[in-house]
Amino acid sequence: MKRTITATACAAAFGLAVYAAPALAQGNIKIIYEPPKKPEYAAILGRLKERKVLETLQVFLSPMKFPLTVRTAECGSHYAPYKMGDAVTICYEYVDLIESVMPGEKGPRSSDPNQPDMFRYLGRIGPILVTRDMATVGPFVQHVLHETALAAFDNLDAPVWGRKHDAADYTAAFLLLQFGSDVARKTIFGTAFFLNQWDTIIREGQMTDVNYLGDIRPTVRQRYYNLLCIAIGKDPIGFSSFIAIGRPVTPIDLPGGRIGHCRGSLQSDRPSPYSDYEKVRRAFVGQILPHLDKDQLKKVQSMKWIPD
Amino acid sequence: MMRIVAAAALALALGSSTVVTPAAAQEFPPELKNDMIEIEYNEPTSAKYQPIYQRLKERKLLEQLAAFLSPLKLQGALVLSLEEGDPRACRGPNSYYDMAGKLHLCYSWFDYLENGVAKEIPRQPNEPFTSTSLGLIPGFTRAEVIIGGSVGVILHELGHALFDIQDIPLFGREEDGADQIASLLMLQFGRQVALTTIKGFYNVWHHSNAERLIAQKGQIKPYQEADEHSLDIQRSYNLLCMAYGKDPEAFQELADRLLPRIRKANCAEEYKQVAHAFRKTVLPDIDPDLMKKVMEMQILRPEDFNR
Repeated sequence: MKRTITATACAAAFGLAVYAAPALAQGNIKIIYEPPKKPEYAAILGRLKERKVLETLQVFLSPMKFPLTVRTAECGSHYAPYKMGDAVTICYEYVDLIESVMPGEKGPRSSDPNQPDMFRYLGRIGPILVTRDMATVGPFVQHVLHETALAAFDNLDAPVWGRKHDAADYTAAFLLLQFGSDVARKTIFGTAFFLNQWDTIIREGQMTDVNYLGDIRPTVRQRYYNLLCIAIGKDPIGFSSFIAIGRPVTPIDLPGGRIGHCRGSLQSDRPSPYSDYEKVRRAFVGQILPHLDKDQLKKVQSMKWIPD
Repeated sequence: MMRIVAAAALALALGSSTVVTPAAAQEFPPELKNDMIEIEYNEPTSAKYQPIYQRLKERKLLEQLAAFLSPLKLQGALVLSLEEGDPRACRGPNSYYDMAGKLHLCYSWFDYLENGVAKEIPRQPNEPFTSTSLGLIPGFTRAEVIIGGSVGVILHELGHALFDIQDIPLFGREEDGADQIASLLMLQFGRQVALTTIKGFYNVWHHSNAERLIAQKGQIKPYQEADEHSLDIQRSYNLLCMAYGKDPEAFQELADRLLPRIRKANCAEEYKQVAHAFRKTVLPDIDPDLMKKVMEMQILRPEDFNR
């Protein structure tokens, strides 16, 4: 039943946009729902198809002028590396992973004895409450944008300095912040919740594993901080719950030293030109934006992607 | 691709224990001059840094670095400074680019290499070399570490300078980008220099990682993963992967011994990614005629490896 709620929530979040603007879909974005072998993934596929998740992504990605295929598939692991010329793949295993760490039935403990179930079906990242919707939509969209960024780097022959997956994380986070504060808040908090949960679960076994540390991808916790870096870089007020103000720093927070690199001074009303946020923004504007249909982009940005 | 022969020469000078007289110092063609580059030798106040200062000054480290950089059509001025520096900034040990056109090479870094990383630590006969083992990696030499660690940090900070002065687009994390510039350049001037510098710089990150693990009782803390730098162990793998990706034959033994198997398969692609970024964002601003002259400069001396 848990999966029904979450996969549906995830799909429904996007379904709204499809019903609103089917005409925006472009022919250069192809979609494929691949049938899985395992029966539990068939159930996930069924729900994604029913709610037209890939069709919605077709609209969301429609400003891209270069051809791209997006597919859902059973991968054998939660991640299928993007290869040049190949499709962007969303693995059923990854959706399953997202669902496995989402807020549970119990939720955080309530301190009010009169309302013991107050936080039922809710999660928390720091002081921020996270709904099941947020905890599934956020990481799902972040993952799609991450993989699409990799595809964009390849298709557009973009110069990428830094590790590719950090670059894709930074670009994905940047994009999540371009669709209004509502989308930014829900997807960033939801993704942060997911990554924090995931790292907490795997940390003890992985941090001494050379295969984990030696992987081409950053650690899960590094990805968590990558996300916060760009979010705080753009909007330190909106994401101030991740800044330790008047309290000790915890692993949930972005430490001050990193904030300085991501944003610059918090007293300034704009990110520093040397901040990570500004660097990604300039790179995006210079290398990717010229290859987006600007009229289409405005339409997509004006749509309401995530219901209240 | 530009051959950084001058970088190799200056790096070897850092490892030399012999006094280099002005007559023996490198002479550089007068045309290898870049009006956008200035150099500063700042005499240290601490006595312990005097030998390093003297050695580097006599060897004309900064003159060599300036000559090496001469083909670059810089969009802004660059100052290359050897210094004891601000106690907070140069503590660490450290060297840094200050985002205001100045590259600060701190004596503390060179001291760390000579008296920290490059130390041969006595071990028991069958004692394994592990992630918490300090000093020289078995099979690595003191000269390699001093040379590699020096060249590595110089080129890393140069990477920051390039990103800033040339306004190079950055999608990823800049610290990793600077590491990539360093490793890419290290691999452009022949196998011997590539092996020396890559091994040396790898040893630096291994040692640094070991120091942290010992201090933290074997744990990697989340705040380390929040740093703008990758973990030291990741930096060592990134470096070796680049090398293996460019020249699998030369780096096969090292990769088999020191690189996780899961990483090796993708190293060629990683190297290609960085080489592509360099071709698109740095190479267009390199004067090809001056680059040829830099490549003709004499470099390695066999005695430089005898440390």
